[in-house]
Amino acid sequence: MSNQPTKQLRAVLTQTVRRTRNGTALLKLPMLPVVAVAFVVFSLSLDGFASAANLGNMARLFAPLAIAAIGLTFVFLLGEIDLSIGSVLSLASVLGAFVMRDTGSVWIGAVVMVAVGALVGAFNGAVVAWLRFSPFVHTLGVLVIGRAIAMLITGGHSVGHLPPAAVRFGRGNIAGVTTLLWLSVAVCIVAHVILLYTVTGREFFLVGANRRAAVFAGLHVQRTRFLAFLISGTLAGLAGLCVVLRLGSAGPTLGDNLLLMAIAAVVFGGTNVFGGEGGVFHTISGALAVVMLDKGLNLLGLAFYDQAVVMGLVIVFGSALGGYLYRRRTGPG
Amino acid sequence: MQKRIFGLSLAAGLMLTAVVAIGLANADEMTIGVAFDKIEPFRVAEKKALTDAIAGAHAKMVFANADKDPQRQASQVDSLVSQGVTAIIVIPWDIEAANDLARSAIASGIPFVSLDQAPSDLQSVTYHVGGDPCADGKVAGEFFVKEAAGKPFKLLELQGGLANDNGIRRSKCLDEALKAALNITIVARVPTDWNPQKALEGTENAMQAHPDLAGIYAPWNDALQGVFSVLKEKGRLVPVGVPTHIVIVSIDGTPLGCKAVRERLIDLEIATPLPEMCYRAVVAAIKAAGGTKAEPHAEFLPGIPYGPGDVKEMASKVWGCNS
Repeated sequence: MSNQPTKQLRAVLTQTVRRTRNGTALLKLPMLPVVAVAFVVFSLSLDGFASAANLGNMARLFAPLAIAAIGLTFVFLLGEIDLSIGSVLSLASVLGAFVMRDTGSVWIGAVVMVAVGALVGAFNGAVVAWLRFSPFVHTLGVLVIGRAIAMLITGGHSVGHLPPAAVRFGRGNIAGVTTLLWLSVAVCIVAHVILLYTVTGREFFLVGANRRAAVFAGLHVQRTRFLAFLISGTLAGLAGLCVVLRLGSAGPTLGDNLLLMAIAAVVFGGTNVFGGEGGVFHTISGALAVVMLDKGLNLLGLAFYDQAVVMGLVIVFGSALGGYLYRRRTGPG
Repeated sequence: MQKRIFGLSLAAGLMLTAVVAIGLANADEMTIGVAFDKIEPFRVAEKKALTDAIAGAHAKMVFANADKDPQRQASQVDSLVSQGVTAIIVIPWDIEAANDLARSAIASGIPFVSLDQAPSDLQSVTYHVGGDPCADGKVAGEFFVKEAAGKPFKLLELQGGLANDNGIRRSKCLDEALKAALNITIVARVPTDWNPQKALEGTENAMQAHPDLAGIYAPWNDALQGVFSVLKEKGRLVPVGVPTHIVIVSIDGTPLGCKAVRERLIDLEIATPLPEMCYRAVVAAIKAAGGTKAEPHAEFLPGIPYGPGDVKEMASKVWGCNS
């Protein structure tokens, strides 16, 4: 009874990991053509689009989105959802900003932000994995509670007057590259290695592909679910840190727009919402597309809602094109 | 198959090219970058007033809307700086983050003028002009005290955005003005995030719990849509002077507010001097770009109170009565 699912799981795992490791999965990034075309078109037509200043600006926008979206990718790989990341970002950022302001230490504040994210993530994970609450309903509740707590402790005000080092770090460069981008690259590499080169990481694909089979195969299903939410919360806290360092302030509504943007990055990147398929580079390509179109259309002077319409159309056509090209390469099925 | 690929590629390419062509259609020498925190009816009027003032100065406007996202706003301001605009006028969403944005723009030699919402550190900006949310809240509070005339008075306080300085101070200063009036009981404080639907729900709940409600504070005109809808349903949407009338005070001065005053449905409206605010912002931005220091450094223009009794005389001063 348990042999058949195990074989199927091993086949899925072997195929996914091999494809990703040897680079063919890179071709399965539906947003990659959109990113490439958008970059060329905007660079040729907009003065300064490819300038260091604008690329730095885009990198600062990209970093927190990519970090939060990578966290969400782990949850999506299981076919689940974490709706709380926006309010986790808000809550972590205001608590950490208070500490940063009162202690004068950017590092202590940073640790608090990540720790708050990890705590909420662990709570979400424990409730979903072991108490078997519905992730959608539970994280929706945490979304509402987290935002309300952030609002209560700040009275609605932003938390400012942070140490000058915070903004220096957030807006600064290391080796000519935006500091926050280095941080997001580090997160990307670590997440990629965990997913593809560790047993625990590979379990995300297996559990997401077929949870029942994974149970029969003796995989750590509940532990994997717990870890997904833990990672998602922790990276939401880290994304909050990026935003705070960039803005020099934190606020109770800071993460309000993050959830949709992060979901967009993960889904447009090609990670399967039903689980079992996707990865870090998929999400990175999705986040790149979101940020590049956002900045390019903004620089063109399009009104906000016109931008949204164009971005939506490009994403729809782009992902259709990418998906079609992929199916054509890999054959039917 | 190949035709479909070609079609899809062509569609995506044409779309981007068309957008690029529209964006590049005009170029001018003096460019004022305008970055808004959000778009709603009041902001639309502000955008029009700024557009008129900037066109009057023979300058070009580059507009960006952050849609309530401080990160997006920071990125938009950075873009305006890297585009090398002549000056930037910003309605900040995050009044703390605005300080560093302003310092960064000014360090790049671009004047940074804040409009409507003051940043937490006024010294960080080149110039600020806005309404006076605290003065407006106080005027509203004093009006309720006068209307209550020492008798028991149940008041519903709708609150704007509590993550927003104008929302916070319109509420806080109302409360300060009411502090001494022990006969006035605030039966509910409803945070609405400037959402008329939440104003409707808050009014509905308050009317259910307190049918003898005597007053409603609607600190922005769009809330009136929700309030009127509930009052109409309860048969309490009656003109000022009718015994069952509920005393209503609102702020903004939009066409909606002016119409409500003219129809005698609200007792007091406090109109923000919007065109004047926008004009001063543009003048200060252009002057600062030319090297002239803005004096005074910050201006808070109090609202213009008017009601059914003096709407005819005051209409010429209220922007919403002339739109």
